[in-house]
This record gives sequence, structure tokens and C-alpha cells, in this order.
Amino acid sequence: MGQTEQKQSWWNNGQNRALVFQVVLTLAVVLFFWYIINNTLLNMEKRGIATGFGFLSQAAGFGIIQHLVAYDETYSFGRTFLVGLLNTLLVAVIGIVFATIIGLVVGVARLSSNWLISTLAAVYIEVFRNIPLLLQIFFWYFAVLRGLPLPRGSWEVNESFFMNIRGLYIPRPIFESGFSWVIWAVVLAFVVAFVIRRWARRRQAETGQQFNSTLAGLGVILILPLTVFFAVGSPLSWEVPVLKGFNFKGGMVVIPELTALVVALSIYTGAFIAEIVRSGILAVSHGQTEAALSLGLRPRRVLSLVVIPQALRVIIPQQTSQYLNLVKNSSLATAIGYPDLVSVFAGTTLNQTGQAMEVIAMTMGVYLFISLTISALMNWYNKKKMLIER
Amino acid sequence: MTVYTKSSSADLLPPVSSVGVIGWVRQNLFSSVGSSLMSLCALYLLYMTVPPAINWAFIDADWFGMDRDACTSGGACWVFVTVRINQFLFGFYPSSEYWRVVLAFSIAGILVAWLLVDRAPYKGFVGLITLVVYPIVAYFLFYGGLGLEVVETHKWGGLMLTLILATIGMVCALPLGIILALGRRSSMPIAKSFSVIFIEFWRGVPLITVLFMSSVMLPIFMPEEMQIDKLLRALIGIIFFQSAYMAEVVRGGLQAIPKASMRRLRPWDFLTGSR
Repeated sequence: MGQTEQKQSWWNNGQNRALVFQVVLTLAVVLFFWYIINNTLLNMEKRGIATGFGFLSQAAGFGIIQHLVAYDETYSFGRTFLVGLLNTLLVAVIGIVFATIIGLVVGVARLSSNWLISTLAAVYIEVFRNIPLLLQIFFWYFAVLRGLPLPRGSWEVNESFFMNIRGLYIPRPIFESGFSWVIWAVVLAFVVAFVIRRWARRRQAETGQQFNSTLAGLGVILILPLTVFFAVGSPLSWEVPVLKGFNFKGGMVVIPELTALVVALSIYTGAFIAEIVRSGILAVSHGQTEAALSLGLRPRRVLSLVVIPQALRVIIPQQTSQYLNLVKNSSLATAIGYPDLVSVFAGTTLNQTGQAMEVIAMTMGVYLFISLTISALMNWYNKKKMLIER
Repeated sequence: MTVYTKSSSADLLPPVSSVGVIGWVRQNLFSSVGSSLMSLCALYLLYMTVPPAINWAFIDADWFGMDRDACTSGGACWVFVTVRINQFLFGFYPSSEYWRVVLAFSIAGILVAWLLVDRAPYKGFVGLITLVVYPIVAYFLFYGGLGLEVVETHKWGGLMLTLILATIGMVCALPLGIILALGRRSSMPIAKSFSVIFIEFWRGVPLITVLFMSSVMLPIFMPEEMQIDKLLRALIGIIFFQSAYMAEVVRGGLQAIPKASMRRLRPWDFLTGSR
């Protein structure tokens, strides 16, 4: 290879070129940030805005319609951050659960051999995927939930669940002393189920004898806590909402903003997840199913041992980005006044304090943190499920 | 010995239950007990929802009139849509200047159609006009100047604004996204890490906080004498946000190319500087 010996000019050497390019790039980025920071400090000085996070300990002085931790006007701006964050997480978790269920059901329905069912699923997917999420949130909030009756004419189920324009009223569970035993029983039951599963797997690997560990585990998880629950004298009662005057008292209330947001988010994301589930199932070639069937596996085992594990490999990466989208989309809550992080902290708190830099940085930091955490978790899970190639 | 001849008996038709409408229904709707139950449930659901919806939207609806008083039949009130159609399309753009918007979009439509037709002549020239000359023309048509009345961006709105934001966003985000994708795949550590940080940052935050940031923070970032138009601020946010997503799409495409063909041809060596 005499050609490589050929004399090159300094500039034609790839490594030198890369070095120069990267030095220039770094300088440009540093200069850009220096320019921005310099401007920012000058502007802040001119407007008389003090930088720093001291405002977080000042009293907030505004109310928030839904708070999962104790909060009223006397709490600090720092507390509003926590309240908003918890509200965002609440929407995200409920939304992810419902979206996954809807997505699974609709995705499977889309593949059904029943023409009506698969067409309905297809219509659902195409309609809800192609309407902007913000419009859907508006639809559920302004068109559906604002059209509900006043408290007096509430829709009710069994005199304990009430739905009206002010929200969904449901009974509140009251845990009496001794309920901790039930919680411990639940924990114990899960441990026992896990141990049974491991034992059954090892025995099958060693002797080939099968043991229905799923059924046994489910049985333990159901029976053990129930037995303990009745043994310590049913330490749980319900506080039912009652109509008093113009509104309901007692029980728990799900504010209409939360309902609208959760419904819109789960229906919208569910449509995407349905397509992902379908793509995952279709990605497993039919030959695999036929091969498994010809080995004598029953259809259910074919599904759980052959189709689903391989489908998951296709599904998981896309599912991750859908979950991330859901968390980020939950910030559209601002539009209907649900007190999430953006609405409470980047909205009201920002307006009251004027600390734009700090507030926006904290808000974006939180979303960045949630996003990176979820994707790290899903990457870890994905790696576990990935095809091990040699 | 009997000999089979084709005409000895007429071909039997398939059973009625497996062809035609009945056959299709049996096969696709009532193939099993479970399937039949699901079909019946779905039919009931459709019966409960579709006729009332059609009734509300079309049969009981009011279409014409000037205001709410025209809506008397209890169905949908489309009167507002017909009365305010201009606001849906143009926002608060002055009505005497509507022709400018229509003209700008028409030119865009003709240029794009030209580029989409397979055998159209002078494609390169038209493409150049679309990318270089048209934006300038469109700017003066939408915003004004050169003798046209100036229409401030806060008066823009409706479908027109949606299309403008979407088009400029897509056109600007694509090249930026390609550069970012190449940066992320490059072997230069600094260029790579800058690209990764940029992409992951914009993908990790919601668009609404990006818009918040660009409207609240951009004025703070810039020197005081430099006032950035509100629409432009939003546009910058959208472009950065979209370019990060575009970069990942491009990266996916690049990853699908087998390594061997990459080694054979690496036209961007001049950029990455690697051998």
C-alpha cells in the first residue's frame, strides 16, 4: 500500500480537518452562550430583576383547585412547584395506564377477523390520530363535560357515584386501624407468588414437570389479603358524597379538568399505541405461529411463548416514545386550566414573580428529567427483551 | 364403462351460505359465537350513536342566517361557521387585503404542483425560484412593504397562519435536522456530543414550554435594541423543536443503510473529516 505513504498536505489530513472543525464549533458555541448570558445579565440589571432562587420561599398567595399535598395561599412558591409537579405526574400515570389498555384492546381488535370490529377499530384509530390533541382536549372539556347537568340533576350510579358539571364525585375510602395488616398481607402475597414462580420454573427445568404458577400466584394474591382483611374485622369503610345545598359534600371529587385531560390523552395516545401493537403482532411472521402449532403448543401458549415475546421487541421502543409524548402532551393542560406544572408554575408563579429564567429552567428541567428517566428505564427493559445476537 | 364428458352434468353452484352477501356476512361477522356476540354489540353501539349524531349534525342543524337567533331547530348551529368563515381562514387580516394571501398561496400551489409533476420542464429553475425568490415575494405579500399596506403579524390568524407556520417550520427544520443527524453519527466527539445534547434537549421538553420559553426568554437573551417579532419567536421555537425530531428520523434512515455501502461511498467525508 504505497499510496498511503504519499505526502499529504496538512489540510488534506482528515484528523487535522476534524480538529479544526471541532475547535471552530466549540468556539462558536461558547461565544453564542457568552453572548446570550451577557445580554441576559444586562437585561435583568436594567429591569431590576434579581436573579436567584430566593423567590421560592416567598408566600404564593394564590389558590390551586387540585392539590395532592397540603396547600393553601400561605404556602410558598416552592410548594406550588411541588403541587404542579404532582398534578402532572398524576395525569401522566393515569393516562399511561388507560392509553395502554385502550391501545392493546384496539390494536388486537384491528386485527380481528370480524369485519365490523376491525373496521370500527380502524375508524377509531384514524379519527383520533389525525385530530390535534389540543382540539380533542377542548372537545371533552367544553363540549362534553360543560354540557353535563347541574349538581341537582347529577347522573348517579348506585347513589354513591355522581357525575355533574362540577366533576365526578366518588366515595372516599376510610382506612381504620388494622388496615396496615392487609397491606402487609398484600406484600407477603406478592413475595409468595414470586417464590412459587421461581420454584415452578426451576422444577420444570430440572424434571420437566409443569406447575401452573400463574394460577397459584393469582390465587395467593387474591386469597391471602382477603382472608387477613376479614380476619381483622374489615377495617375499611366508605364516605359517600351527599348532596347538601347546591353541591356535594364528602367523598372524593375528580375535577372536570382532570377528567377531560385524562380522557383526551388516553384516547389520543391509545390510537397510536394500537397501531404500534398491531405492527408488533404483524412483525412476527405467520411461519413462527405455524411452527409452534405443529410442535403441539396450544394456541394460548403459542401466543404467550412465541408471538408476544417477539412482538414486544418491536413494540417497546415505539411504546417508550408514546409514553414520553403523553407526559409532554399533558402540559396542554394549561389550555383548560388544569393545575399542572406548566399551568401553575410556569403560568401563575411566573406571572407573579417575574422570575422567567429560573421558572422556565426548572420547568424544562423537570420534563427533561422525567423524559430521560422513562427512556433510561425503557432502554433497560428493551435490552433485557432484545434478541441476543451472537 | 362410463366416460366422463364435461357436458354430462351441469356444474353445481357453491352453497348459498358461502357466497354473495350471506356468505360474506357469515364469514366476516358471524364466524363463531364470540364473533357473533361482538358483531351484535358493535351493531347496537352504532345504532345508539350514529343516527343521533347524523340527526344533530345534518338533519336538525341550522345552516343559514346571521346570528344565534337563526338557530331554532335544536341541532348543530353551523350559522357561526358560515358567518365567520373569513375569520377561520384569515384571522384579523384586513379584508381589503385578502387577495394578497390568496395570491401568495396560489403561487405556492402552482410552484409545488410544477415540482410534483414528473415530466414538467425546467424543474431545477422552478425549484430555485421556489426556495429563493418565492420566500421574498411571499414576505412582501403577507407582511407588506414596497407600496403594499403593512399588516402586523398579530393580525394574522386562522388557517392562513397555521399553513404559514407549518410550511416555514418544515422547510427550515429539515436541513437543520439533516445536519444534526450527520453530527450525531459523526466520529468527531465534540460535534457528536453537541448534536446529542441539542437533540435530546428539544425532544425532552414539551412544545408548549418551548413556546413559553421563546416568547418569554428570547427578548431577555437578545440585546434590548433588538426587538423580535412575536410570531418570529414562536417560529424559532417550532423550528428548533421540529429539527430535533427530524434529526432522529434522518438518523433512522441513515442507520438502515448497510455498513458496507456506507464504506464504499461517504459523500460527507468532507464534513466529518474521518477516513
